[in-house]
Amino acid sequence: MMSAVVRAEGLTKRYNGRVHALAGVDLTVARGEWLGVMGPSGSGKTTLLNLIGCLDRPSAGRLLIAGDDVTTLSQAELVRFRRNHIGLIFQQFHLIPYLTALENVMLAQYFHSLADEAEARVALERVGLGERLHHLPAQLSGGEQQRVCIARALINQPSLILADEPTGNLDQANEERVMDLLRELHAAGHALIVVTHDPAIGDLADRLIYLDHGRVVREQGLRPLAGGALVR
Amino acid sequence: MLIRLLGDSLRRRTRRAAVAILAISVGTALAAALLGISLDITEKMAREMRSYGANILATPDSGDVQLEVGGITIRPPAARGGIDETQLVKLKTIFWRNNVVGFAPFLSAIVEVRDQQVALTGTWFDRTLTLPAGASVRTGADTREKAASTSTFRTGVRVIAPWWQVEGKWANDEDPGAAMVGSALARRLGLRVGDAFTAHYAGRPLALRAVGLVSTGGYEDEQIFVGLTTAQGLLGLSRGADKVLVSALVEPDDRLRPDLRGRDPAQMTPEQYATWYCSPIMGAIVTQVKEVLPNADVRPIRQIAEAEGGFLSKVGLLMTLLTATALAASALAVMTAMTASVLERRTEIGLMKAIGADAGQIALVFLSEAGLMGLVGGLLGYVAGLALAAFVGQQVFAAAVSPPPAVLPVSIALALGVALAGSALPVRQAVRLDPVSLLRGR
Amino acid sequence: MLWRMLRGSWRHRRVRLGVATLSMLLGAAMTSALINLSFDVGSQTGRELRAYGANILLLPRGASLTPGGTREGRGIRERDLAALDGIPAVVGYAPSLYLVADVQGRPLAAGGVVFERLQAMSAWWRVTGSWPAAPDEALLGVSAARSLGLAPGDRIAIGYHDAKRELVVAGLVETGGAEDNQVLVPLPVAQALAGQPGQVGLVQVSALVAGQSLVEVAGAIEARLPDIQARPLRQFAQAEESVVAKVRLLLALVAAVVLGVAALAVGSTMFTAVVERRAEIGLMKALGAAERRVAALFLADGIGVGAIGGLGGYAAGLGVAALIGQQVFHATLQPNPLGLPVTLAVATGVALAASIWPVRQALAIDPAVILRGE
Repeated sequence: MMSAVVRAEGLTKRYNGRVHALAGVDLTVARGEWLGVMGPSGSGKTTLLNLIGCLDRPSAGRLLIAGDDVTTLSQAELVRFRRNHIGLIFQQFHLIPYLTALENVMLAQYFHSLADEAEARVALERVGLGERLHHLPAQLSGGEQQRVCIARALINQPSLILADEPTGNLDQANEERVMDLLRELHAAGHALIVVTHDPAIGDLADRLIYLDHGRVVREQGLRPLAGGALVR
Repeated sequence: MLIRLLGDSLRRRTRRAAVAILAISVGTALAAALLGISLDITEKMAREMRSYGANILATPDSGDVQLEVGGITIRPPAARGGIDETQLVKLKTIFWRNNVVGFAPFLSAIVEVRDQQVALTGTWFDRTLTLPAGASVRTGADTREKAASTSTFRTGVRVIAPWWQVEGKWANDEDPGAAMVGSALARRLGLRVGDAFTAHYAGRPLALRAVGLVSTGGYEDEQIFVGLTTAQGLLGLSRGADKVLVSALVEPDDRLRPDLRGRDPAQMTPEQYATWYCSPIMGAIVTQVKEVLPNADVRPIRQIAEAEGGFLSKVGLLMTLLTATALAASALAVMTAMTASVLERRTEIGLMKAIGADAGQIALVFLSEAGLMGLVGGLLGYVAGLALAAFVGQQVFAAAVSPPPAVLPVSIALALGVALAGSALPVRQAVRLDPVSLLRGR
Repeated sequence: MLWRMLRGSWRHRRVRLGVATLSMLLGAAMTSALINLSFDVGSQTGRELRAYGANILLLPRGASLTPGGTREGRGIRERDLAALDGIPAVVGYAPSLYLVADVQGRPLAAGGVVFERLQAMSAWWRVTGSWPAAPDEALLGVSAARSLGLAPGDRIAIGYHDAKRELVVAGLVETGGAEDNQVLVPLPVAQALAGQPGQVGLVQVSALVAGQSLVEVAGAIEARLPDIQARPLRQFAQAEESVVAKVRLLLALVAAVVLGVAALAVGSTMFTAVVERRAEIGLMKALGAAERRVAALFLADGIGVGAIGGLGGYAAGLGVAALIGQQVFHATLQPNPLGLPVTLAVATGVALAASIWPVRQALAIDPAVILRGE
């Protein structure tokens, strides 16, 4: 059996001790797999993503990422873990408004280890922004901002990329552009978890899960993994 | 709708509003505290300056040339005792009676002690005087009333000359044989505390006992002090003194109404004279002392009085300038805080314009919000400022500073004005811009 | 990278930072003005009082201030007095030689004085006519002038034992004190009359009480002039010390109040500036920033605001202090060497303290909560 990038067992998240945002989710994501997560608003999609992204801690259950049990890590260890293993793509982009595109990417490098301008430049060229390196986020279109966000997510070679509604704020043309980029990432062997409620994007995944009221209600394998086996 | 808008804005933006109100109240507190202190400082410092001792001198009104050596006026015996000390209690009936801190009569003679010529002075060391109920006291330039109750007060050298350093004890005014001897003189005469000695005047002996030694560094170090009655007995007088020193709280002349400054009271209209008479300045107090001591020549001791006046003016000016600086600085600080808080809400202004608000409506919303915050902040700041002023007064003067009531309206007006001024400019500017550029945030 | 981020942040948040820096600047200006003022104002007010007479008397050792004058001692050599110039606390001194002279046939106290020295210590003297300038001019007390029937410009004959001099009355003096009944003559005239050339009987010394007591100053004088006794005048010593101490305390407390208020104002501005950037802190954490790096970034921001505002404020405050000093005391105030470090330390300290709490708070919150928005 292939090594799993993410293995969750009985993952549960309660807010204020009552609301079950996530109620016992079991989940495995294989290396290089693209997992789509769909479901209505409030079904727990973002909560799941926050937990896997180590932005939040589960109330119960076990969560292994790249073989490490992240539920046992301290705050500081979580931060270190996140910067080494996870790239985040947000619906709202969350770029720092006063830094240029290049500097926003370099910021992630700086937090990881050392800022390397040449490498950041290459990452931005890869997402097609070689001409817009020195623009502030306010001077970029939504699609361009999202591409900066993707470049930033990639820059530290994470083993897992998490995207929350990556095209939610984009028009058709830009959505295409971002989808192409995600496909490229997948082809390059990154594991991806993409939360969306756009079926067109869901269909791009290797496997889709549907969440409702904090539970996985349906699961659908769409295509075989590169390794050949359909992992359950 | 306006009230609802204001209420919502203040409620939902509690933290922002709190910071703005904090800035306003902090600024107002500083302004109110310094204003309170500086308006009350002259009176407080005037009281401090009384540690300099007497600032008014009354001598018998005689035109002849006097020989004054070593702090003693040498007079012919006929001119002795020109001031009746039993009249001195009337100093507590003048208009500014509460400003009279103390007074003491002096009667001097040159006596012979152990074959040396020595100045002997009779005075009041520490007397308690009583002003009976029904005594006529001044309530204005030409109004009087009867004192409602009997009052007593302490006076004498001990009150007006706090710098006297006494080894041994102070002499008792009632004890005819008790004397206080100047320390330099005592050294020369070989006298120590408790020693008995005899002073001779015109051949008559006077038995005395040195109960205490005085040192001041001045002429007092060379004199002998006895009770006034003892000195009168020695000179063969039944009453009278050569000199009276009065210590009175006096404020600098610049506290006088500007149109009366430098004017001769004799040339004033009755109304002006009444105002002048009721100002706590040297000229008025000297006039009032003269009224109760008609046979005396009453003069300010200019060395003390002018040092005091000059000093008080300087300290007053210093505090005024400091207050002005603090006022300007806090006004500027509050203004920038208000400006920034409006600038942050330019998108909101753009939105209001986009949904059809006109300039007046927008200005009304923002300015009434600023006014409300200015009012609340100003009130809070005023209270805090009073507390600060009270604290400083307590620490420095061990007495509460009592700021005049004018500080309240001034503080509030300041807070309101500054808050409004700080908001008006950016609101005006934002209202002029087109909503699209405001909404885009650039 | 840190520098790059700071630069970007400062350019973008111009208004906010401008407000923070300006409020810092105003606070620092008040602080620096008061520190500089309170340092020097005590000695300035003391100096102010020094125009109103001596506070130390110098007598020949063994002499006394008796009604007969100070003749029984040996006298003080005038040239020895130059030693007083070496004592920093001494701001002025006036030597004199008193005798009971025969003036126009009547006994009158006559004092030989050095007029220009006396004038500097006698701000309260009222002179009609002019202060004597020529070696044969005299200043006559108003009361004496009245009873002698003399006016400025008249000649006056002064005799002592067998010696006799004729002088011109340059002016009449009114002091409200003993001088009103005296005649003041140039010191050499009195010395010649008394037959004591180069000798003085009494020196009035005006000394500042700032920093040391008058007793200490008197001790220093006696150490330099062994044949002289220095008597501090308790009346002035005590009053001046207490009054100057009050003014000092007043200014120190006002400075403390201003400092507190300025710190509060600056602190709240910095506080809001950081609170507003909580989302940014959350994002940085989500991107894997270590807490120390985030803290360093924000504290560097605070230090920048503190240093710039503090420096500018220090300069502005110095200007305000100088202006006030000029207005009130007509003198240039000595800048307090502590002013700069204290102002800077307070400014950056307040900026840091006001930043630390919100940064810590933001760091403690899960980034997911912040990113979702409030």
